[in-house]
Amino acid sequence: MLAGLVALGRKPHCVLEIPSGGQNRLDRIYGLIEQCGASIHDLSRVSLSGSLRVPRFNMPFELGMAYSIARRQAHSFFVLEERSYRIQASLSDLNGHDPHIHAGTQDGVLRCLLDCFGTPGSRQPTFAALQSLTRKLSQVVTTLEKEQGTQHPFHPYIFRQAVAAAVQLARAEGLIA
Amino acid sequence: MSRHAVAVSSETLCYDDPMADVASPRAAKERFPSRKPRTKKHIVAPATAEQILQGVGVTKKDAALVRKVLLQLGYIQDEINPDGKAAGRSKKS
Repeated sequence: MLAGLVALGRKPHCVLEIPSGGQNRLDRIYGLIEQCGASIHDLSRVSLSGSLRVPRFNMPFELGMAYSIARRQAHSFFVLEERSYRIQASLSDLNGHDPHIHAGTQDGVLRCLLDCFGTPGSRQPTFAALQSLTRKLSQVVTTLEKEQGTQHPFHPYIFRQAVAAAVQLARAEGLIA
Repeated sequence: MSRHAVAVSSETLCYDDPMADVASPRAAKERFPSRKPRTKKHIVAPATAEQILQGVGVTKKDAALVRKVLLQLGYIQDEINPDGKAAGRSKKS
């Protein structure tokens, strides 16, 4: 998703940028969504997890914040799901907002991004270009994780470095100026 | 529409003020229903590389590490400037 957003000339932000502690974390998450023109909410990972086997409510909660922001100011929110019609069962309050279905694949996510943020014209990157960039960025992020001795990419510094890498790669491909 | 219907005046058929009398008093007062104007808010000009990097707050340390990894994987080429300083140059594949 990061590679796709950068290739489309968007400035990606992520909740990872906000420190996990602190009393006003919620305010800062709200502020982060508020400062963006659009937000993406993938509800496909709201599954039972951890030792307590509880669903993760963060993403639907953040979607609620985005909805509230969109009612007050210029803000678009996009809902992503893995399977068609599942959201009608899991979040029926959202009926009327069509989710973008990615089928749980990288290619599916890239298609969703093109649907949401693609602008008609010669400057829009091709689907193949997005695929190529995504493959390269995956390799770079894996190497960055190894270099810094971490098991997963969900750290603020990995996020920043991944964005920096995506920018360099996208510029090399002539996708962004 | 039948010929007979065409012969009836528009006043009789209430075409000029459709259903105003049968709607709720509030709706009847409102000439147009309240609705947010539709705008394509998320369609903006693509940002440049510098704008994206500034937005995320990439540090010099991050940039140096990323450059090292990109060189290692062969995604960019190292270029030696005439002044002897190395500068990364993107390689198109």
